Amino acid sequence: MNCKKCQEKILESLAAGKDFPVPDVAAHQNSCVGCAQFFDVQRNLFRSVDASLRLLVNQPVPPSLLPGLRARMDKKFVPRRAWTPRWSYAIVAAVAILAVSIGYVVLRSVDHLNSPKTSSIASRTIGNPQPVVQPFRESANVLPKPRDKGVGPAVSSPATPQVIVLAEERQAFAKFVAEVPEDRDVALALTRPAEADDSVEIALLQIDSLEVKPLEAKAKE
Amino acid sequence: MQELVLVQPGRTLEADSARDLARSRLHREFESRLAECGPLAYRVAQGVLRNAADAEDVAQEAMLRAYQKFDRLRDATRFRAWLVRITFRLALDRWRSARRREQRETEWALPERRPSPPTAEDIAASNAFQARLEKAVEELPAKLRLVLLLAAMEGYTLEEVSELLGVPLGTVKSRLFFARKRLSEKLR
Repeated sequence: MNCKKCQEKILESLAAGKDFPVPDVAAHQNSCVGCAQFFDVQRNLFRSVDASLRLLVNQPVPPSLLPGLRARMDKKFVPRRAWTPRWSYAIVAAVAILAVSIGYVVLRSVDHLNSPKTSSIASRTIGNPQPVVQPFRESANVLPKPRDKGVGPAVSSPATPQVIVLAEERQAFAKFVAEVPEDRDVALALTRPAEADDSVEIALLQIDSLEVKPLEAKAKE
Repeated sequence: MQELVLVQPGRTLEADSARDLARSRLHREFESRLAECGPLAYRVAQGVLRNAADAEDVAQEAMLRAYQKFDRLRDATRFRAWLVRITFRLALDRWRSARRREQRETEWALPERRPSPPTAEDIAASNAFQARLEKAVEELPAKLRLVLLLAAMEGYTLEEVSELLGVPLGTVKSRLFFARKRLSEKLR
């Protein structure tokens, strides 16, 4: 056995945990000083490795390990019901009440817009003395379609009532609007109905006496 | 016709109490294992991380995870092996992320903020061999590393390590052999 092979065998036996030379290596070691020295050095190295590893791994366990773990377990597995604060119910109730109130106000405003009174006011604003108010038609096909998107009349939403205005009335109204003077007071005076003047007194017609003539003379004629 | 179903409140209570009972039984069982397995988990983590605070945190985290899934463990006798694997994996993750952070900080650190190089006295005072050994252990593959750490633990024979890892004794011996051989090559 040469020295190289002997040293390989020494390393293998030490790595396998054998702290003493195997028989065939021992025979070579007894005759070779270099290999015997190599064995001692390597054995010391492996002993140091083992000692260091034991030191590394077998350190004292900190006493806070298990109490800390129990604290983390308690923190992590608290029942969910206990976590929910009581005031969260009050917040939920307040939000629900607010939502219901807003819904009620919105419904009221929609009803107000759909009422016939509002429609008649709208027609009076246009200037039609006897407007024809049509009820809301559910069928979309009945609604008049605009001929041109840019110029044609805007299609009202299904929720609002439709008012039919004659073409000549519309033209007259447009002409009137065009001719209204720019002075605001004059325009208001023209568009508002005349108020009753209390200063003017109209005396009642008084007839003092009535002379009734018989129709006989006429009959004689 | 609509069918009405009566819900018995007593049944829900019974189910709740049965669940609570099962939970408390599992909790007691887990607690009984903690005294034995807690130190094992800590030592595995300590072997990888070499930092007491980090090792404690990782061991606790591993045991917490084990507790969460304790009811799913079919074979209760495999608990130790299961816990060792969880701990080792968590510790390796922590160690890798710490190493990445360290590298990032080293790259971005300004020259004046970098720690001054150790003086001759520092080198002499530090345990150079221990540092080299730790570095060499870090460079080992995970499988070899775990076997090496478990085999170095007091009170664990190779048979127990083989049982812990769920691998044959011969595999444990060969992994230990290669681990020690590589260590000696690096430290020579």
